[in-house]
Amino acid sequence: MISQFYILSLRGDTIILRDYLGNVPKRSSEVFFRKVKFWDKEGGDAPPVFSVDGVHYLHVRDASVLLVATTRENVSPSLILELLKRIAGIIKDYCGLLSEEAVRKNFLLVYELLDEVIDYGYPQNSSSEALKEFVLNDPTVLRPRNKSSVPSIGKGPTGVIKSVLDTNRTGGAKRDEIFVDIVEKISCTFNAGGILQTSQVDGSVQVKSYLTGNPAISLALNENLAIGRREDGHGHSHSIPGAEAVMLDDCNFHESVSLDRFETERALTLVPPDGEFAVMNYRSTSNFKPPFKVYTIIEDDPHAPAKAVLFIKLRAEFADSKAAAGLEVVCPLPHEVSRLSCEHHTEVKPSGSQSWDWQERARRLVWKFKRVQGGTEHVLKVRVTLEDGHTAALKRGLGPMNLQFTIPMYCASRLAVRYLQIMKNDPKYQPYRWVRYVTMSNSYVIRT
Amino acid sequence: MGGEKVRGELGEIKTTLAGLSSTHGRAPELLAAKREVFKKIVNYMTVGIDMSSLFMQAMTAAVQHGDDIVLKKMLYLYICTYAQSNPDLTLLTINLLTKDSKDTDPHIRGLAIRSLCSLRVANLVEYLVPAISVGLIDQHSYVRRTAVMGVLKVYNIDKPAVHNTGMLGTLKEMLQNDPDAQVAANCITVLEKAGDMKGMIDRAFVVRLLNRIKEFSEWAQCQVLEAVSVYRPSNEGEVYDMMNLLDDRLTHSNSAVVMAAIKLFLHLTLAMPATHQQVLERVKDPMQTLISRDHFETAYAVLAHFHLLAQRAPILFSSIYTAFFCRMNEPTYIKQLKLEILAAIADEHNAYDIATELTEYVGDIDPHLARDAVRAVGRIALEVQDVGGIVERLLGFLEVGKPYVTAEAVTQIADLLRRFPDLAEICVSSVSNISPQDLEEPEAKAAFIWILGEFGHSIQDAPYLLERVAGKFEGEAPAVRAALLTATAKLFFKRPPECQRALGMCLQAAVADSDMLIHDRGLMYLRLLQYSVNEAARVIAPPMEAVTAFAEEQSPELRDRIFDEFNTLAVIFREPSTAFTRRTTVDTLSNGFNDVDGEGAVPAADEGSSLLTDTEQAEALGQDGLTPRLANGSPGAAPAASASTPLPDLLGDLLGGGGDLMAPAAPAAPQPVLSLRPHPHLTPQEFQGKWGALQPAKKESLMLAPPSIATAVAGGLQELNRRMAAASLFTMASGGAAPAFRCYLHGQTEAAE
Repeated sequence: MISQFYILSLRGDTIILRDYLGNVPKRSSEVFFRKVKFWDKEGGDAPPVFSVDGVHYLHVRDASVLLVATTRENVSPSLILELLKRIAGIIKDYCGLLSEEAVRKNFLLVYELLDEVIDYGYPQNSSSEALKEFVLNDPTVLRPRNKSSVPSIGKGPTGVIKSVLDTNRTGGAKRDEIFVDIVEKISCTFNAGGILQTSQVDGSVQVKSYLTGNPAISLALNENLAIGRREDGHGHSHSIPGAEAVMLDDCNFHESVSLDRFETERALTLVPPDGEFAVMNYRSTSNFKPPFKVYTIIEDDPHAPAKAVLFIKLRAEFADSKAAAGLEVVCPLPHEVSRLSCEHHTEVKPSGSQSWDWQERARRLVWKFKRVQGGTEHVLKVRVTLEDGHTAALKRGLGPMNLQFTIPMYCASRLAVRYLQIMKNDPKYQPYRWVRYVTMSNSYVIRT
Repeated sequence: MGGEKVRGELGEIKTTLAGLSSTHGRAPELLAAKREVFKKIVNYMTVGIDMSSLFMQAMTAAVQHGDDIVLKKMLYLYICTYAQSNPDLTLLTINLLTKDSKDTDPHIRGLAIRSLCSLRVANLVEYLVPAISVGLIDQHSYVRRTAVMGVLKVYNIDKPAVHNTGMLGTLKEMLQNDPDAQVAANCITVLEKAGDMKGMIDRAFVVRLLNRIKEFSEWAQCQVLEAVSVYRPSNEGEVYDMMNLLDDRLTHSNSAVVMAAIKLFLHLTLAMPATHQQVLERVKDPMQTLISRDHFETAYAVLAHFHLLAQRAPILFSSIYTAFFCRMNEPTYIKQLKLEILAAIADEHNAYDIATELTEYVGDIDPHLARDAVRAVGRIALEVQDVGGIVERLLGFLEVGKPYVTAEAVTQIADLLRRFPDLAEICVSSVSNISPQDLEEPEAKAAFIWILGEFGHSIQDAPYLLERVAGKFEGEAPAVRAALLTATAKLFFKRPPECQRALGMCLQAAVADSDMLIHDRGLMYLRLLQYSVNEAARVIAPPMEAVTAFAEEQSPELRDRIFDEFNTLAVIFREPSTAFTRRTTVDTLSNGFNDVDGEGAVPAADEGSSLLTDTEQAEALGQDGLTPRLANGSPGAAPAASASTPLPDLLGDLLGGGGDLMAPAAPAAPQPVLSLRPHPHLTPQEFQGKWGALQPAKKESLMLAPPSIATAVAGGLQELNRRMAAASLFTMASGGAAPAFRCYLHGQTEAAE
């Protein structure tokens, strides 16, 4: 099935290489890398599956490495790509994170893992849990530069850097804990009239578990959760009409999840394997209010046809108890714009947390905030000088704008964890339980 | 890294290893030092530096610490990597491995069996078989799993060894009875590969397997679903039972499981059209959830299947068109696929909305997306005619002011006019506003010139626009030159006085052209015109006929063949697997050559399958006598002999188009004087031997016109092989991809034994 597996750095160096069948030239990684590197000439990003001289290359890109499988057979692309994704996940679980440096520092451990995951090109044992008994090398866990004891919320559970081996091997870092994160990514498109055209929330309930003895857990979601459009029974009894219900279009579940109590209590029961995984993925297109609105106004200068003023207004339409972090409003401007200067109309606290940046080469204006409180409104006044001509060119060439942000402890779909129960008959066993929410922009587009 | 430095490092490692081996004792420092050296070796192996010369030293050093598993694992990795290039030394490791395969620790037993079977050295098979046989009945499931895979490894080196020992029978029994699901899954793997699976699949077997499917790992579930997909239930009730049992597989978070289940559902219901539709309806949601996840690569594979299904049943997907709108952060390969899906599912209800969305992308700063969006609007205009505003949008793209958008729009408009000449009235005035100088890309320029030729009667400036390009005839790309010649000739019959000058320039330049196609076409036009202007008008500028289907479009038959291979690469590459997987004969042949060369002994050996350089390959293709045979064949008989339609084209080009070229070559071509056996007997090994031993008797280079090549190589060189077989020349191996194809053919004289 898989002829070779390798991990390449973004510069094309081979960091890990296993040849299973010996029916693909040894130097195939060079062929692969050249093809990926120069793909742009043919049109954009290299697709995850392509073929050169009868060898099929399948790859996934993760952070700073490429995981590649080669084959000559007519395999299932989903199977190989999922397997590569899984291998990336296993390395993360064992090394704390996946990066070129982490793989280099732990290359023997990675070889050990691979030995058990794939035999002769066929996937064998791929659960981080079950692999533990085969692994002898200890991980070298890289700590991020700014080390902090509280895991950063911004990146969801991936922000926790810890090896699954920590719970039973290394004494010092041992701490029983479980992270449950509701990570939602929102995609919105507003048309030129400011009306929301399409919107979707893609969410996932991520669990990262470091519990000794792997006790079962029970994870209860909103009682009024309705899974729409599915005709097979789930959801129907729960689709209470009215605005209260949390509506999901569809969802899928991890292998380990038992749905026995889902029908009646909206509770998922599972024995969480060690490591990180998505208990549930879902998507929803209903009932959600976009957290931000952006408007633009262009004022002509009657006395100087080559000058105009562009107002960009941003409104944060969520509760004032929450705040978005790292917000960026990216506004492409037409090539006629020769000069511009900006003033902020409102001051955000703390002062200086707002800035703008005119990236002339990319022809885009980026308006940045470190933090935006819910319920606030901000205006950027942009004085524009046009090279030749008319504000009409500005109107035509402006946008589409897009927003990037993260809102911690905010959940666009209102999906919530009612309780997280660890089913272990030991009143003294009180591991740390982290239930966190985060909403991020995926594609937040405002057309003009 | 320089060669000097490598040699230095190698020497150093060798010395260190020797030093460590001569130090006796079991101090932990010694072990740590050895581990460090091995780490270094493995690291160099990974970057592709040949470490095989350390074989003896590595063995000695590691064996002294036989109980250290970390060291053992590294040693085994090393041995498996270099076993093929060091078969003699590998023999020395057999003892160690065999001993380990009887260890008390199941992990070591498993590790030993896995490594033993991974050596890939044919004459060691006799040592493997006993170890595997014991492993298959091991107490521990880990050892059994490994041993089952070992059977496959041996099978691929030495098939008779597996058949003679009856191991496949053991596996069949294990598949039914082994309590460990992964053991059973590995049995499926091996039996599938050995072709012994089909006979096992009956109702009882399927029921038992599906009932325990949740015990299997997610990967093994895919295998089970795939294996079961060949089963044909005897009645519809059974189909429903199977689908009910597996319905929750559609809500699995692993897309591989979902896709495997979908394939099974679709294939089970092929003979039940109404249910088949329901299945398509049912799988929409789960597939949509899979493409919404935060993982582009797996989403890509699912989207490719969406595309296939959307082509088969566009109506089922037309209501969820917003799911295929592009998102800002998606890579180009996702966006490209989404646009193609949008074009495929556009109908009278959603076409307007889709075209509106696509128009937004045309303004995108990414030129790839902009072009693809224009192309998609063009497709929609072709397919959905009753919706107003689509053609106008396409025309509007001409005014966006970006050269690549204009170029793509012109190409699309030309295609649209080919199918709907009536639209010319609407299109012509917008098109006539651009000038050929604005179009840099040959394809767009040729399309524009084509429009001028066909509809020049209603474009006032057409003759002068053509004349301007004709003035620089030689500087244009071949496609533009060909289009220019034809367009000018066509327009000449409509507006003779204005076009005469341009046509004169074109004909003069064409007759002197180095491109055969243009040269011949110019000559033909010239002679036609000399013979009779009326006759020329009839041939060159007949009334335009609307094209109903474009050759690039896939036929429904082809799509069905791809659908049969649902959830495979065929869907991604959009061609049946026969077009992109080589026949196994090639693999064994090239592997054989690799073995002979030795790993890394000669740099060129890394090329793997390439036996010949590209020029030699061209000669090989000429040598086989295809061209002379075709040229000598009687033109009347050949099309009748062949059922496939592209053939007349092939002949036409060779006989008509390439007449001048062929004339000197034909007499030189050897007439087949040999009488060849219709069924020669030659094994690949014999062929390989002869290939190495015989001197080339004759080398020849022949030119084929591109369309002839296309025909010859279509369907994995099928046509070529068929025609050669008709001449009693048979393909031993063939392969390659455009532009370099290789064929190894053989024939046997009647006299030969």
